[in-house]
Amino acid sequence: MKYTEREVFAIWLDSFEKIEYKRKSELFSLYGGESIARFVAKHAERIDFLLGKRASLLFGAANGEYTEYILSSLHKKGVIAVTQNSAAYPEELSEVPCPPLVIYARGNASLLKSEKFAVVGSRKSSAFAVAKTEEFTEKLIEAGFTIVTGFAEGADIAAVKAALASGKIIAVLAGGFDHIYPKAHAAIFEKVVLNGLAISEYPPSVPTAAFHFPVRNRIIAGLGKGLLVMSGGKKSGTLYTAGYADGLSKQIFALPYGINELSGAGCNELIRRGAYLTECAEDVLEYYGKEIKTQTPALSEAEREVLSLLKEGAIHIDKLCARLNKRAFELLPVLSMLEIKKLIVRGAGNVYEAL
Amino acid sequence: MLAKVRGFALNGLEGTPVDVEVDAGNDLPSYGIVGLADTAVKESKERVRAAVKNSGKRVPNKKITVNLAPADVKKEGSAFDLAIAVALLKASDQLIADTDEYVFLGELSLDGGIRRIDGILPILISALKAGYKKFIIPKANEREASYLESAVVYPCENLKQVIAHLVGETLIPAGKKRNFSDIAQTASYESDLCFVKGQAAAKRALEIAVGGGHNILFVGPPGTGKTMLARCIPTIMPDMTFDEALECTKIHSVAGVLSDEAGIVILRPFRSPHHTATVVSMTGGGNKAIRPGEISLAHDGVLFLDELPEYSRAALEALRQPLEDRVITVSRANGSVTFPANFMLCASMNPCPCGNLGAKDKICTCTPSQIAKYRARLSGPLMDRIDLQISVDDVKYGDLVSAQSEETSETVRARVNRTREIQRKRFAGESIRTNAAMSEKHIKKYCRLSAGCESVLKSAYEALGLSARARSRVIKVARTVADMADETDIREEHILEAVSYRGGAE
Repeated sequence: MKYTEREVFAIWLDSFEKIEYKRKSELFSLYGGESIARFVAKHAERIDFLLGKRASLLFGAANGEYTEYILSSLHKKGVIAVTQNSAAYPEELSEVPCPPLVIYARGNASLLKSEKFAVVGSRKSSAFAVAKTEEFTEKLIEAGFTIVTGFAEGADIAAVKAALASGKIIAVLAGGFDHIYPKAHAAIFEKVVLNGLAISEYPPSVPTAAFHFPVRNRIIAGLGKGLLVMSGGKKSGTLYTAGYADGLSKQIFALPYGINELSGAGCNELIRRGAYLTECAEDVLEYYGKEIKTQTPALSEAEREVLSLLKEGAIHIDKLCARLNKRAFELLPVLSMLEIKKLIVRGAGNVYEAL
Repeated sequence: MLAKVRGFALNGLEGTPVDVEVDAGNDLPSYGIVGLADTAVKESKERVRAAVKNSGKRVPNKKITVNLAPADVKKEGSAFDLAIAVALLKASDQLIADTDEYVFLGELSLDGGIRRIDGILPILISALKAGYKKFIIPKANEREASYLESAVVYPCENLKQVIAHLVGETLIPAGKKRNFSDIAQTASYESDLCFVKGQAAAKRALEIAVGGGHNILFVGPPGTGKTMLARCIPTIMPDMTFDEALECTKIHSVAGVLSDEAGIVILRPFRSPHHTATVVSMTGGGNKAIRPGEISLAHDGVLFLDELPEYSRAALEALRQPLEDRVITVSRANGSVTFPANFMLCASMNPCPCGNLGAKDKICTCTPSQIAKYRARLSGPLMDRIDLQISVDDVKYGDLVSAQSEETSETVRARVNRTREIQRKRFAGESIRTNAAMSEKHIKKYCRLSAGCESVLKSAYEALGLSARARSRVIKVARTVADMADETDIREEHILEAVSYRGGAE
């Protein structure tokens, strides 16, 4: 990967972990067009004034060896650095508060310029929300969107998995690529890199920290044309994402939940504040004037009967047996088949729900 | 003078004949026991002395040497008391009788009474094999000994009786024989499937598990009847055969947990060790004689592990080999013993440490790493041996208006027997008896899948995210489901049903 001098400047500046964003962005906006050597030589006083003791960090590293080292280590790790002054930098991102100087990307970086839509949910999503996330993701992709989401378990990773086949996925991580979090998703990360795109505003060596997550959420909100919240409790991190989206005047979509369903209380709160009540992917697509062809899978007689009953509301297997006057072993194959066809989902405690 | 009578020592579940030799010679009076005896045997000196005195005889003022031969086999326990006392009386000419055809077993009390001992049944079985026919045993062990046809057993209450019998004064009537099937009919389990309301899917899973010999895991929050369901498992297992009962009784007898009332294990054992159980208490062992552990006590029955992830990792991993081999070989410095351990594993766990994961109206307070840690306590190889996972829940039965009355365990057991019969025929030439025991080779041979089944299986993987290791588990369970439906080939609905038994613990 060849970088222009201006890009190298941004990568160089961003590599100093000890210098906070505010100072970096100030230096970048003032001297972003210059070469490193010139910048250090010409503005030494200014740098001293802004950084105090830490100025020596910059002076010590203002040589070709250091930049060569950073660039080659990025290259070795397969990381592409997209800087704020690069053509590949997504414009939407410039709108977010504190736009990242550099976006570190692995995978298909051209996705950054595609039409994006953010889908997020909490780590503790119900089986229903997870299944819905998969369905929404697939349909949104079919309509042409690239899905932007996080990398946590629950709804986020469900969206990632559902999008892998098409490759239209941007996973925004809250730490450097050397420290995939959660570790259990390391295998999925490799697939994302291969088929889609993973990005992070942190250089690869920076470990994930708890405070990165709410900050990271501004990127998810910023990249998406709109934001769909699949699940989230009263204090869920998805509400931060929604807050950023609101600040950027993006449309927020949220799945409605029942009164007692605590894992969706946050979604209901968003709807109360004006989010678009979204029951199916078509609701989102209609808003953007898009359309997809939906095909209903072929159903057997028994499957149709069970499905129509489930459409009336979630139901426990025992009640289902009683309602249809059938035994469990007669219904279980039907229910499994409907699950495989992704028309129903089994929640905790043998409760089945239509999607 | 020298006297010799026959006793038996126990090594694991096997008895070995021991010659109890007593010599009373003219020398400085003393009393010594030789022949690798442990403390309990050495202490018999005092019990024998008092018992003999209190039975109207005396201990001669001579040099008394007791030898337990063969001298290189470790002897432990108090079962030699009676044999030593009889030999002592013979050696001191206080008892003149032919004792060659008897085996003497029993612990003496100071007043001359004979107390019960552990392990009568395994000793009797070994002794019968070795050609011994007549046994003098404690009265308290009478029942345990009454099921062996060929053993002539004389149950005695005290030493006086034994002496009178041997000299021919008052003969003790031989113990009555009892018929196993008569006793077996009188026994019944406390639990019954018909007491469990609802839980239709769980009950079906239990039937499959027992029918195919699969291990089962319940996943669900606390207080949802997991234990109650587990307790029903023995009630739907096939009735115990006499051979099975004997084998179980041997183990329980050696461990000293046999009830004296029945004297034999009639009901399939249900063992539920607490999760603080150590490896040794699970597998067997001990610093003196090697005793059977919980897995052997659950032989031919159910081992129920409540709150599976709370058990120590070592205790759980120790289950792997016996689950495969159906026996456990316990090795200690003083020898190694093989105990049978053909148990069905039934376990339960919460979906997460707080128990609320996935519940709609409750919030799970666990962090993802806590949940991951909780589940990681169960190793992959252990989970590979648990074919069925089901989620249980606290549905209020009041909500249900079911037209179906609950089935009794007896009805289900009849079906289980049929399913087992089909497997017995199928595996007639093989070393295995149940579907659960099938290896990859057996699966290839007996579980041929049609193209339709393969495609269902494949789409189930993709849609439901099944792990690759789940494949053979699903096929084995599908085989059992097909057997229950009396089908030769596995059909798509069998695969689909098998797929539904995943509790999400992985």
